[in-house]
Amino acid sequence: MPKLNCQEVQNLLEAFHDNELDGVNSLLVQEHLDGCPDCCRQWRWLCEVEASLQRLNELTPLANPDLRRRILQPTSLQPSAVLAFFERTGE
Amino acid sequence: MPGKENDAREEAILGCIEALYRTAFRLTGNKAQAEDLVQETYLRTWRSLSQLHNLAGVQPWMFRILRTVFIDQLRRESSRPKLITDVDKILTAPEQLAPPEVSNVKDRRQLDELFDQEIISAIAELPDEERLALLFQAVGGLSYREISEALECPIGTIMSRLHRAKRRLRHRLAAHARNYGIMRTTSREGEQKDAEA
Repeated sequence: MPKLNCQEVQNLLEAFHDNELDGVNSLLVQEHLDGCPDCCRQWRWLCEVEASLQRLNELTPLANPDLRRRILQPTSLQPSAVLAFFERTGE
Repeated sequence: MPGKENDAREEAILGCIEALYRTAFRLTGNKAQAEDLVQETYLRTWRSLSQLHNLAGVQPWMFRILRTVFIDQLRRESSRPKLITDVDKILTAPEQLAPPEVSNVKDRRQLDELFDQEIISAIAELPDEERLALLFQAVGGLSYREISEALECPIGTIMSRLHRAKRRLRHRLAAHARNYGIMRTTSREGEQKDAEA
């Protein structure tokens, strides 16, 4: 199995973190990280970023419950009525 | 049966409100603007329902409409400053620093708060397509495949955008931490490799 160099690993770190790599590439990245302090440092920085993004997500406010009502009745445009209209007109 | 199908579509579409609103809030940084974005997204959704063929793809489809509405809004705001220069500055920021060891930081919570404030402004300065990909993932909760559907580009392009966006954020946090004097520098060899990264 060919090994990855530092540049290749650093290009894959985000996908590795997000579990978006296939099994082979995940193993190659993990193997490289285990033996490379420079890439490990980049990995730890990425973990700081990901932790901060996670907190950002948790602190993002929920939608005002009133928004759903307004979306359903912006100008009395009930979704069902609109759907029925488009069904009728064939659009 | 058509009635039931419509109900299912309606529920699926309305089920996206929360993710759309929260993403719109982080795109605009403003509750009123986020609500406007979402309302416009839904208006366009009702108008283009015939294009929705598969309920399983409803979320990326709605995020695609949100993106269109958002880009249209940006185009209308012709006075919006371009931030390319700032982005270039971020890219060349020094990164020859090691992340803080938890044990080396007296107040981890304070450090997190510093990073969180910095992340918000760094995201605001990302190029629009990178910011969209990042927020669709981090706040919208979309997978790479769903983001690629929403932004209508290959998964490889999404991987590149997320990589570039998060690399900018890494540089930004490193520079910010150094400015606050909470970082230790690494060896010269590490500095060289990081600077080349």
